[in-house]
Amino acid sequence: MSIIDNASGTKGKILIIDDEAEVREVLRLHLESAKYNVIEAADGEEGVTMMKSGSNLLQVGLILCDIRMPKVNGIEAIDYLKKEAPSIPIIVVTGYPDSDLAVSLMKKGVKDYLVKPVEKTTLLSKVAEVLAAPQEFNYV
Amino acid sequence: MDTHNGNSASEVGSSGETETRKGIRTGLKNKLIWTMLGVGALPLMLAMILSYLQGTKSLQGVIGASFKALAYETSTKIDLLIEGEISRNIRHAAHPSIRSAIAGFNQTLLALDPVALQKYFEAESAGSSRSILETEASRVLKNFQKRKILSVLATQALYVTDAFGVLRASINDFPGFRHNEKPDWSKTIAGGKEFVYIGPVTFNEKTESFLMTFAFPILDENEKTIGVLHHVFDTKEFFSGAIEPITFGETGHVMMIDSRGMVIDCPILPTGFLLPDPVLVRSVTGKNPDWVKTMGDGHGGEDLSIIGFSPLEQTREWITRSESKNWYTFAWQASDELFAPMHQLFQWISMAGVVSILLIGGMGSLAAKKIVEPIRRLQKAAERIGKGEKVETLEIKTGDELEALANEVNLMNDLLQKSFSGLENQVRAKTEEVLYLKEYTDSILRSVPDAVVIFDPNLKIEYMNGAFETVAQQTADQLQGHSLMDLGAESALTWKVVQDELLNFYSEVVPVTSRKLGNQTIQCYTAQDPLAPKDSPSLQSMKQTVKLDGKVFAFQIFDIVIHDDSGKRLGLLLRDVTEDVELHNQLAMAEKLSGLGTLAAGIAHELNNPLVSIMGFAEAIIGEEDSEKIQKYASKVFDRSKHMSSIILNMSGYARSSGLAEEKEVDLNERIDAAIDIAILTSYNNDIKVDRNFSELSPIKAKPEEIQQIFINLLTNAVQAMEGKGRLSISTEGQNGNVLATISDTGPGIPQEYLSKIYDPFFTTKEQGKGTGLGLNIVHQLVLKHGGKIDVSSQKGKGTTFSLTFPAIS
Repeated sequence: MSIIDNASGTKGKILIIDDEAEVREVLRLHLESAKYNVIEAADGEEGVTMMKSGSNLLQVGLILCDIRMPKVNGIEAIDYLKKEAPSIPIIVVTGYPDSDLAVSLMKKGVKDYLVKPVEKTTLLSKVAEVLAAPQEFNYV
Repeated sequence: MDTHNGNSASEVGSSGETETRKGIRTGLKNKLIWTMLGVGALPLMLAMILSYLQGTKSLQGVIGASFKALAYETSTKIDLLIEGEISRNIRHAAHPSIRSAIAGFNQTLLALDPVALQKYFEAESAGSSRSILETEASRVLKNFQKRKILSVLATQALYVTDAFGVLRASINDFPGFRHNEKPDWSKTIAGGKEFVYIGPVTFNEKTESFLMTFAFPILDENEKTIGVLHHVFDTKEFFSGAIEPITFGETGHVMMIDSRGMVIDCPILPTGFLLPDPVLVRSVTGKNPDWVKTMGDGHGGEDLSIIGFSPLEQTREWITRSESKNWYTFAWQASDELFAPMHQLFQWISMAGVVSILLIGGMGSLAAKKIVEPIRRLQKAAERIGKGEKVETLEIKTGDELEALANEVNLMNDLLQKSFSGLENQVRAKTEEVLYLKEYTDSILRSVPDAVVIFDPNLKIEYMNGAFETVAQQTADQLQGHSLMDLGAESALTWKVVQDELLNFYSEVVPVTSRKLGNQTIQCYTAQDPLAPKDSPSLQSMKQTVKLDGKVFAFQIFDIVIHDDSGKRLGLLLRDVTEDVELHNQLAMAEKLSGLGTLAAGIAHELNNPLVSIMGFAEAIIGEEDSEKIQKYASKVFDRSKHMSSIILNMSGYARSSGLAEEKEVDLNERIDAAIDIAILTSYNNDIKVDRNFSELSPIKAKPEEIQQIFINLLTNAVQAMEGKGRLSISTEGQNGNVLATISDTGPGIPQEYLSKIYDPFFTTKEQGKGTGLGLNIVHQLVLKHGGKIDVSSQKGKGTTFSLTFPAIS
């Protein structure tokens, strides 16, 4: 992918971190139908690595993250990402209908907590809502 | 007091004589008496016999000497008598009238020639002798006889003969005319002036008596024998005056015999009696005075006699010259009388001996009784002490060793009684203690709410407490000595299980071991510490349960240590765990439900992922027109749906109560697979490598849900310990008819101090609310329930390995 390619893009990039390939495929299908540019990571580690590489830190406008994953799970990945790039909004998409977990993640600054299976409209409206919100910058 | 005691003692003694005097063949008293008799009487008897013999001998000597003296005395007296007579007659012979008369006749006759002389003799002998008696000489002779002396009375004839042996004067007409051929005349006329003739004693028929003749020479002025004076005596009368008065005792007397043994004078025997025993005669006619012991006494007796004798020493000379028989005096006493003193002595001594023996016996008996009586009392006292009876203080005041012994016995008795009473008190106290302890332990056993049964070495019931009576619904009396199989038909199957376990345990119990206690070897059975970990799963008997009358009883078999050789005993403990079982089931359920929260999240996650695909692809199909893509999405939907279905299948039954399910054949590999699927979901991390190393396994008999529960709990623990990241190695294999499963994780490991507690209920290291502490406890219970065994090993930082063994169906 060239720098031009990276720099171009219509609506910016959305990073999907999920260990299930089919889940990623479904999410990509939904997001691409709404013309979002999608990149994928198979686990937390890969997601973090991907964020560090290239201009992703600047280009990625939203991260969709699963919780239960090998190597670095979602919680660990979120902790890292919130520390390194607090301005990038994160939406958790997980199979755990765990309210405690949801509350604790929301406190960490996660924008939303979606429980699988997520309907296409729900997903797209939440993504649009988060992307439309002004970026939160921590100036301190 | 003392007598009374003696009586009662003797009564006691006689009643128990045979018993108490065992071993005493001869009483001490008898021994003492016999000893006294032996020591006293035998020497006494000996002394008596000796003194009797010596006395007899001495007495005989004394008697003999006396007799000898008497005989000698008598012989001397008779000598004197004869001498006196001789001298008197010699004087008579010297009378002038006689001498002249004889001389005259001699001259007349000498003048005659032998023929004339012969004629004269014939004439004269024919002529009257009367004329001779009228002569002067005869008158003189008669005068001699006028004196009243013994010899005169004994005189039978006194006459004078001349040198020719012609009678010339006489006091009576006794003598014959011529005496020239008679020995008295011829010996005297030729004998010389000193000659005296003493003739033998001869029997004279004319006087019918024994006579003896003395003849003396008649001498002239020139001491020439011119005639002979004859003096004839009646022997008995002559001597009787000298001999017969000498008597002693009743029969003792002196007699006179001549050397032939003819009696000359004797108060008893007639003169002239010839003693018939020549031996006797020879022995009493020795030359010197002496005494002899002879058999026979000459008086008809044949017994031992003592005879003293003495020859007439003076007279002997004359008798010898007269060629006559010698005379002997002879002192004698009848042996009866003589030995009467000896017999008396003998009798006295015998009597004295008998009396002495009786005295010794009697006094000895008294003395022995006196000596033995305290000994008997001592012996009885010692015997009673020996029997442990109470004995009064002995009162023996003999002042000798016996008193000392009695004092010792008293001292001993006191000490014994003291120690006995001490011992008695101790024994009483100990007995009370033992009784109390027995009562105490009995009460404990009775009150124990669990049923306790003790079996003898033959596995028969020896003891049972009240709780067991209730369980068995029979009384102890009915059941004692019976085995468990006799308990009743309806519950026979249950009791069979217990009985089999008993037999199993019986053969597994550690065999007899020798234990050293001091220097004593004790045969005993080693007790199994019921709290000590057991090697063999079957020794975990308390975990075994049986059902009786709708109740669940856990039972435990234990070994009983009794320090004797009566064989090994087993005990059976039955506890009603019906409530426990229910409670436990409830707890297990609660634990299961508490895990459900975490699990549900995992399950949801697991289901939601395929659901995402299904829903997403379904939505994609809806808006898609490309039939190729639709085909692809549909097949993915179908695929994910199948996946979901399989997940749901694995989850099914997890929450179901295991108590209701039936036991059946279970494939361990299948259950482990299902458990892995569930357990793996219990962490947010999905980074666990699962190594399955399964072998073909024989099935085990169990409730499948319970087996799955075991592995879910273990695997969940492993996954959570690794926090979802690490390697989970699971292997199974068949081994010796068992099925072995090993689960290893690479988690942080269990600290050593927790290893012994991990099966304890409610023990947990998880945060509050995250764990019930029942997981491993339930695992443990379930493993044991299915006859399995569970081991754990853990290394800090390296992980934990659980090994499980289940008996396979053979």
